[in-house]
Amino acid sequence: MSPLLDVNGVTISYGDVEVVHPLSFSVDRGEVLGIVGESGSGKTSVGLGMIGLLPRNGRATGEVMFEGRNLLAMSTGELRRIRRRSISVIMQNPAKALDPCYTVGAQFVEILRLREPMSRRAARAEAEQRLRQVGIAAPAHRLKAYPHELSGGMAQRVMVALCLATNPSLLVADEPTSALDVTIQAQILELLKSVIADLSGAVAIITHDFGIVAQLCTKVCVMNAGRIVEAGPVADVFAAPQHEYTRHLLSLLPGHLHHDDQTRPARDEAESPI
Amino acid sequence: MIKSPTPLLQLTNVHKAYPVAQGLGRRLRREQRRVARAVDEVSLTIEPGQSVGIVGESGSGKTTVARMILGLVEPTSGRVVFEGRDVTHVPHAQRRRLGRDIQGVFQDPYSSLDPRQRVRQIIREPLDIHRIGTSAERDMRVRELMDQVALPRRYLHSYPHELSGGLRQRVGIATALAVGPKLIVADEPVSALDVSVQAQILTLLSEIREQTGISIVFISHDLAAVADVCDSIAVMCLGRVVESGPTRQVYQRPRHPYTQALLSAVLPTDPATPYRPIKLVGDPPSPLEPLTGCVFRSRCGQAEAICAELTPQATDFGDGQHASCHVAARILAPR
Repeated sequence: MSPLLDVNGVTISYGDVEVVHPLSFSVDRGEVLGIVGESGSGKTSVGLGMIGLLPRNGRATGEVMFEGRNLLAMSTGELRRIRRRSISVIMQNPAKALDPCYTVGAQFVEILRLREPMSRRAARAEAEQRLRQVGIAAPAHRLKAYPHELSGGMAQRVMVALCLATNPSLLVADEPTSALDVTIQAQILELLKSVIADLSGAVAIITHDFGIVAQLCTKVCVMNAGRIVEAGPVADVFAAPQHEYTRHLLSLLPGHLHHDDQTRPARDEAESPI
Repeated sequence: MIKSPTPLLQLTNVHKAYPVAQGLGRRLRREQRRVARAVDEVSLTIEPGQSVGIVGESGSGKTTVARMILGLVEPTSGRVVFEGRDVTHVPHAQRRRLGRDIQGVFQDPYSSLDPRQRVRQIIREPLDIHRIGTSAERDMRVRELMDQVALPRRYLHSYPHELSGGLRQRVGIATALAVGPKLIVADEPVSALDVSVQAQILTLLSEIREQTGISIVFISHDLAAVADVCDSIAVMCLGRVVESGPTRQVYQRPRHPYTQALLSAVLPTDPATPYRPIKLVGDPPSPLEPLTGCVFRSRCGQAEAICAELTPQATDFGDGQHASCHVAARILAPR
């Protein structure tokens, strides 16, 4: 059987500049793929481009097979219907991703009623339920709040709850914790972990942080300058990185905080590979 | 640690409160103006040649401390003493002399460099302002500084927008070094940069420290970055220093529950290592609300009745480490 999401020879360009060169990977149900790289490596272009969310000047070519259909060959309307039903995206900055003009409750009700016809009252009840699931105390109170009244951690919890409301079969998370403090990041990662464990679909996490890959993902693609330089199961890539660039990035990780007796290895002073 | 007779910089019980904007209604009702306490009773000593890291979450007041050291913000109360001289309320016009001794490196090298100046002008400007050397000497010095921060000379006539983030931060560091300061305050100097570039900039800062013996105050939310550059650290939580001491020691044996939580939240980078962050309940309390007792108690798993009543004072553990925690003071104090 073919995987849930099969990316085949996809390129992404802005104007005349090709920023992602033909690349292929796949994610199946139950798998958590990490797309990792530095800024400018093209990881976000791939992650958002494969589901048709590029900015207006961006163009994706190639083939993205999702549930047996090519997302890149669809009309905008068709693509939107598929996304509405089966794909959710957790954005980096929840404060920007939520609509500042509407309360959390209004945004929740809208999404739930798009999913299936239901009364506002029933939608509100479900929204409360879902907010409670992501660890928000006093959900009825929070539904009346506007996004700017929420702290960063709480806004990201709301975002996660919204993304799960449609029971998506593909969840894409673009740097889900980069905008948060380290203690809040820990809370959100715990939440994502439990969410992923309950999800029957596939997950793709775009991040620059190998720590997040190590903790959440089952497989990983390392990107550099628009190409996948290394891909494989997380345990293998971390234990025996094959590519020079992966080794370089892994060597920069602050492992010593968890290994008290080790002194920190000397920093690699190689020029930036970008 | 042996204290030299005059420390380079000493903050004594500094406070900073910002008045909160108030609507017309509240003003007409003559309600008392509310303040946000950004920094509350912070004391900090920096010896010549020492580098101190200040870590904490956003809103912990670490940047306000940096700005007070730089003289960009005046403390509401408390004293700032530089080389034995009280500089808490130096008028703006007399700040210039102090600028030769204390310089800043800022977080965002995209917005902290003048987009309309070339690299040569940017690095030269402090020399012009402080009238150091002749024009020819200043140009020589600019080239020396570029070499010192490993900024290739071909960028001499480039504009900031032509440079990558790492190169821009090198320009920022060269500018800070230009006047030969005794203290550099680096406020999140690598947070805006990619990991591999971060490593280069941290290495550069460590090298500069070794070569020049300059003191550095390094402000960061990234505990690993601080570990690279600093001999000692101060951990801030909601405007207060809750723990301080030699970096390695604090990291290996954190005594304050907040430090323990911060360290446990750093992601292990080995997939085989389990990730067990200490769970903190809820969000940090608002600095607008008056808070009695310990600033961390609402999120602390070990909080007791006394933590809500009494503000814990810094306990000296006898090994250079200080922590402001009732529980740690009782359990961990050496007999």
